[in-house]
Amino acid sequence: MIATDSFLPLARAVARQEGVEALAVVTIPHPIGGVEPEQLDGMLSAAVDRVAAALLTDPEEVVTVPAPAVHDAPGGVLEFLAFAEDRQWSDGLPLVPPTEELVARAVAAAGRDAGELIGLVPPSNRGASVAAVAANAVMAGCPPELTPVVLAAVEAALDPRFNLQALTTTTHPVTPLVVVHGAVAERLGFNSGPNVFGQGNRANAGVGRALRLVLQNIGEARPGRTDRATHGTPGKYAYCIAENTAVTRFAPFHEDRGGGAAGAVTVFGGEAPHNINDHGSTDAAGILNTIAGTLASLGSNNLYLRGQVLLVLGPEHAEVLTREGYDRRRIQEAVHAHPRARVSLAGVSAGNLDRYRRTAPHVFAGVPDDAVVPMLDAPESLLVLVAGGPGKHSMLVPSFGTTEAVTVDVPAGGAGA
Amino acid sequence: MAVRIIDPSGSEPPTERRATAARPTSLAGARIAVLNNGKPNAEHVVGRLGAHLAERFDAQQPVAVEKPNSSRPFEAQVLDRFRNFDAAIVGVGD
Repeated sequence: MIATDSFLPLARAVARQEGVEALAVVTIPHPIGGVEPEQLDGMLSAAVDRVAAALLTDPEEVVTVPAPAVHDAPGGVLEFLAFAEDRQWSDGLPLVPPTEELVARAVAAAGRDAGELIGLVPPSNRGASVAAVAANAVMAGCPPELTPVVLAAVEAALDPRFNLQALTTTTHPVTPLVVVHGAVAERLGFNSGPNVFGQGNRANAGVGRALRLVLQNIGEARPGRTDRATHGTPGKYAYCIAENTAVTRFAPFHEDRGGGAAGAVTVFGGEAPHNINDHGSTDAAGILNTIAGTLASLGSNNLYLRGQVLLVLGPEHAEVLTREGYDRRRIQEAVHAHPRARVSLAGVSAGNLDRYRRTAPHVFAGVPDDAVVPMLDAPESLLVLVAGGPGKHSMLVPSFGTTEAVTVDVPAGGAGA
Repeated sequence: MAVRIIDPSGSEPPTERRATAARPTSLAGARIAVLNNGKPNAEHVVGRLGAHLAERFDAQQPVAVEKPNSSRPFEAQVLDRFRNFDAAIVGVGD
């Protein structure tokens, strides 16, 4: 395997994932992109002997030592935090020690067997048992009753449609946004109102953070190593909102997706939300124009990898739209067809056009170099829900592109235990 | 005072360890696949390395394949085509 040198830890992780931990890896200087191909030739010529040697030499065996299932950790606050830091368990913020008692209570609240396997978390492919997820939920500060929500979020993130392997290792600033829907959100006190993407609510903060800790501690998505994010995003600390269904006549998001009455979570592989400020419009046409104009962006993964974009309508924008008879479907259709939800390719570099034509030939092949192309493949590419408090703002959350939102029910029984 | 805590890193991966193929003693005549992962210039990198192996070590001219979307794995049927090759060069990077 050839790896650019800064990607060596990821190359090792991928080899281990495939069961060939000892695979020969030859490194070349990073980066290989962003330059003319011929500029790489000297470096490639110099690397050939090492490639040949790697192909001809038996690789050294790699020995891994399994982690113990329990630890005797120091009880002092600062000493425990140092202990956790040494094991790379922390996101940088303080952690609650996942004591046997607290983890047992978290597992009991889920009503599931501690050893039940939820799935394998990439890129390590380590097993996320109910107990291991619960330990991370405890560390994130979740009270026991939040465990079923965390488990549902982990299950959703491990659905193959979500493409967690790519999301967790990419250079793109993406992380799972957890959206909590329905009765469970209200019962457990999630914030769906003012400052919904911000700080100040234990359930939102705890569930968002717990999922991140699962990705880091079980999946071994470690910043600068296997997590290759160029900048990352603040949502990598915690990124969790609840849907606000109190103020509109919209069908709840999860019910449109087959979710149950007890409530559900959706994970969406999103960037940071981008504001849609519209204080001036008094009708749906004005607001839709601003939404469409915010959607159109040359810098978005959604331009060339396509996929879904999430529109989080503020309640006041949603009220104007619903007053004029717009339901979710009509909003999707209106934004998809909107003349502002298109981008001009004029001035786009030849290198980018070549890339776009490879990744999305259905949009870019056979169109002139200065064509105007739609941002969305279909109305359904725009996911629409309502959240937030008073104010003339909505939010647009671009996605990684090669990912699909996944909705999983939260069982009614477990969360009350 | 110590506290007994549950390790949060989950269980060992169930991946079956696979033995790597026996190394050839020489690359002369070797059939080499070069897999382009879809990243910019990846085609050039693996292609040039394969060509150099042919020129300097008498390997056969490399057989190339690409995946158009770097965010998805190679299709299984694509990889199946290379079961009978002596070596493959793949990449991770940017």
